[in-house]
Amino acid sequence: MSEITGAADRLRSQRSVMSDRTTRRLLGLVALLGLVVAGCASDAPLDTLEPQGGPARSIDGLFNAVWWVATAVFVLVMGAVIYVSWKFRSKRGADGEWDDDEELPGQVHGNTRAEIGWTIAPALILAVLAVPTLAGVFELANWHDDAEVEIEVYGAQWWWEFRYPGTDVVTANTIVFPAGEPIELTMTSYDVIHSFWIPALNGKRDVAPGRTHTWAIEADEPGTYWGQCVEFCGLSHANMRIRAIALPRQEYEDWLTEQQALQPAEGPVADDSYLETVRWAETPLVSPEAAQRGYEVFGQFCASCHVVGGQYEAVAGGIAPLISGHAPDLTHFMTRTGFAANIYDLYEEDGSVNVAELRQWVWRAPEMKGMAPDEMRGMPSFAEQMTREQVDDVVAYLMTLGGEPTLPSGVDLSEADILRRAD
Amino acid sequence: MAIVERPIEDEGPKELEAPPASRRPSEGVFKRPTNTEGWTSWFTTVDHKRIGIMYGAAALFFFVVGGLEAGLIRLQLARPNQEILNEDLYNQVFTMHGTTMIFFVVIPMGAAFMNYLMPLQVGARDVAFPRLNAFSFWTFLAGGIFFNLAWFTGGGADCGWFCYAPNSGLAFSPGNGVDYYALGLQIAGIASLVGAMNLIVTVINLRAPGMSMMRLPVFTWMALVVQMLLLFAIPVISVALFLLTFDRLFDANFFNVEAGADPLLWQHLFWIFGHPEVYILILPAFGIVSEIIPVFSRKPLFGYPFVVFSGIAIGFMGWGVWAHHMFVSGLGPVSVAAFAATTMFIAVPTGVKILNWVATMWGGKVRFDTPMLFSTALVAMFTIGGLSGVMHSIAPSDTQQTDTYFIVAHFHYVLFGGALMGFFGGLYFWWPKVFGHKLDERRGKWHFWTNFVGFNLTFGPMHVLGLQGMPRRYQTYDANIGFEFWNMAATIGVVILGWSFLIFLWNIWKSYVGWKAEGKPDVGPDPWDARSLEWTVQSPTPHHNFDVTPTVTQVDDFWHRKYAKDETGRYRRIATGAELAQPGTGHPHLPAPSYWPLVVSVGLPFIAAGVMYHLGLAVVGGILVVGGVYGWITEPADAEPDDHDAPEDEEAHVG
Repeated sequence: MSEITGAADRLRSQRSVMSDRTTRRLLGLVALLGLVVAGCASDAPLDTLEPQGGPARSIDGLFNAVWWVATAVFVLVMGAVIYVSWKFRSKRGADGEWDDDEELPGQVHGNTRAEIGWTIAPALILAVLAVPTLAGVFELANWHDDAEVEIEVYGAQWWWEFRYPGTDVVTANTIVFPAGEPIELTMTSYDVIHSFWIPALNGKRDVAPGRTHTWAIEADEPGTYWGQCVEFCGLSHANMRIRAIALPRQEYEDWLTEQQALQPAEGPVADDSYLETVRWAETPLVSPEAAQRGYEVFGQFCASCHVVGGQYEAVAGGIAPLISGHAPDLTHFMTRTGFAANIYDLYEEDGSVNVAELRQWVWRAPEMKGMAPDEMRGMPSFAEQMTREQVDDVVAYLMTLGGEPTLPSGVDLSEADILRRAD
Repeated sequence: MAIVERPIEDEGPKELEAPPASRRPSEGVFKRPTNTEGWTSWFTTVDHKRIGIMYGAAALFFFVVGGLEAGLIRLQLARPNQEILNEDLYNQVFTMHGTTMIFFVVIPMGAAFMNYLMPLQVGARDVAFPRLNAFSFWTFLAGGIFFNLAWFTGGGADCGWFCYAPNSGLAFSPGNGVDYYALGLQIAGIASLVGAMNLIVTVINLRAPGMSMMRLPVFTWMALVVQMLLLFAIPVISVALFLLTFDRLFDANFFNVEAGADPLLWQHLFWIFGHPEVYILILPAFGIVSEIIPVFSRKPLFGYPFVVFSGIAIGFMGWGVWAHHMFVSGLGPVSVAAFAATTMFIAVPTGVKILNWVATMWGGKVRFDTPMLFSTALVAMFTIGGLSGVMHSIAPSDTQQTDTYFIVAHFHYVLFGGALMGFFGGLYFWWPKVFGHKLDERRGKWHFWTNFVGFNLTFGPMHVLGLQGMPRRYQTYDANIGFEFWNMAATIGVVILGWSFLIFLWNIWKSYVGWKAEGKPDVGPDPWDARSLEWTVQSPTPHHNFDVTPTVTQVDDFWHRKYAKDETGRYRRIATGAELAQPGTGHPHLPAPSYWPLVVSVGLPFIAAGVMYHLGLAVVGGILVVGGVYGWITEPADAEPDDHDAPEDEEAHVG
């Protein structure tokens, strides 16, 4: 019966060739997509495939191994599916219907040997993969064993705090550490579960309340890296970034010393050098007097949550009136490069301060980042309480807290600020 | 190898003897309803087929809800820094999307197929407990509606479908959304648990003579494994949800860290349920394609025992891998290593199935009708999801991928590329059995190809996004970190998927209208030249399924009655399905409809609302439940005795 091929039949079989071609093209597209994934060398700063430190590189090695195994299996199985779909496809008869009286294909019920074979083969492949996997698990768990530097990590809704044991140094959202050596992180949370992740330096690790997790990061070279929260932590989960700054060892020691300095108890230092530093002198509101006024306003509105070492210690024994009990320590605010958990840049590329957004932030934070101040989570709006002048004064005061942004020597702001929030 | 054998054979097909009609005096206040026609009869039906249809319709309804939520997510993420949905609303939308799709789309869609097909495939006239079956459906529907009511009472749950403590606590989610989540899933869990017991008893006890376990169709086998998983998994999530509810509504401290709780308790409970749940979602689809591929390849399933036992193996091993959802939770390296190893090896029984399906097609004469297209797509797409799953089992590598879009890509390849592809294939395959006419092939192919392209365009790019470091559950992202292009691609993919689903709905409508215009021609009992017992009855399935309980002598018994070996040893057709099918003219005794399952089910959401708002509502719900159960117990066992023909009137028709 298969010898009978009328014109219509041929036409139909052509159509079926077409549709099979489409099948193949589409499956080819899927395969191509796989290749795109494989080779996705992009300028994505959070790319998981561009390790820049020991732990991340170790992970990347394992990823590559399983990637190629998976790709091989993918090609084999897809090849088989496409092959059988093409080779063993049936054609409709001249009437457009399947021929129910056609000769049946061989009624094979199975082949025990083949089936045992394709049960054992994947098991063996996986057994081979299991060896470096298990080794990798322990390697990463012990990466920080010889670490000289320990940093405490605290997650909070929706920002990060870093403390340096043995010193009084507390920073928010910017973690500074020496390059070229493993850093031990001791992590816990002030409220819900967060997850600490700097893709270039290591995989992620949850930061959970009531538990202390240890984890490591390591950067080969001085530089700036980006991280973010990756465990869903509520309203502003997407707005909780980590700026990681790896410094040469000596610069790190210097930084640590600088950060231990407190702000003068008598009030802000705002001399001429201050005006020069902030570089927005075209705005008449910046003046030592404004900074002094801002210092007072800060005490009135901001100091109930925020600490400024030497000037405003936290109320009620270090407990802010928030569920987490903590707000970002602002002692050396201007040494950071971003605010609002690095959602906004603190400096423009030319080194001037991003006054417009900072002012807006002080005034109406919940409009710039999801906050739940009524539920004691996040920063409230001061639109009702502060006048515009007071806001400007607070900004002028904030600019007295610390000096230049911390960056490794040789790196400037324009190359460092890659996560700028575009409008 | 038979696990349970029954003495059979030699006396020919057996008639099912109807039990003597109950003469027990009715204690109930109400007579049992009798009408089985008209729209009101759907509320009281206990017919497994109608319940299956309602499960399917409800699942498609929730699919539209969840799909619209998905559309909103993709709309928000189409371009960087958009504010179409604010953080709060976005968190609600993705939580509701995930929870709806898992609990109110994929589970009930599986239940739809199982309800409709399992009794038919084992040769029974209904499930073991028809009223409980109705109760399962109404309770599931009550749970789904209750869960979604949150949208109209202050906002949906905003804790993610996994709803980790302590973020799910009252301090961090003070609205009622999480309460609706916990109580809605609790209600749906009751439905699944009751359904599980019902269907397990049905398979074990109501098989036709000769239908030994190792002659069961693979779909029924997979359904049995799924029900076993549900039976043991649902209690775990129920406990977790109770703890959460008590924490939130009655000031308990199960997840209160300040009072000494360990937040990992929730994670363990959730994933001990949650991983078997993954197999609960996918195994029905595996069963469906194990039915479709042999029919359209015109060959028996390659390695029936391997496929069955690998399904059972998945059912056992699925309990030993839950902590792979917690590789970064801080479990410690020994636990992580152990769960990495178990996770790797669960890939083996899954891989076996894939290769057995390919081998089934090998050497066949494969007819690429729409059901087969969807089934082939499942084999291919599930393979991708399976391979990315193996990549996650490499625990150190998973610390980079977990909680990124790579995971989102993975589970959509498994649940959409796997479960939903299988369900669509199953809908096209069994549509003529259920509704008496096929869905149009041409529109079906349009549906398939748009679905296939839209699916890959939506979820394929998420692999790239995840490897580029885009985290899950992010309301927005910045412009210059490499996320724009693939996000836009994924959003375009969702638009195509939306159109594809409209084509499907259009196909349902037009196919019906066209069939009606032609005077409803009979599609015949066996339109695909298929292999299992449901094709031995007329289409649509008669109310009583089988005139005569069939007798089974081997796997694919029906097919072997259509084909026999000729003198050269090749199989030749000796009969058509239509010749062999039962005429559907018998009037066996069937369970009478009942009001009470619906009444009991309606009571449950009142109780749930009562614990949230005002105990008065709970009292109303309690009265409905207790009263409903009382009515259920005391209602007459039958409708009036003359509502069905006496057994002696029954004609025996032997196929």
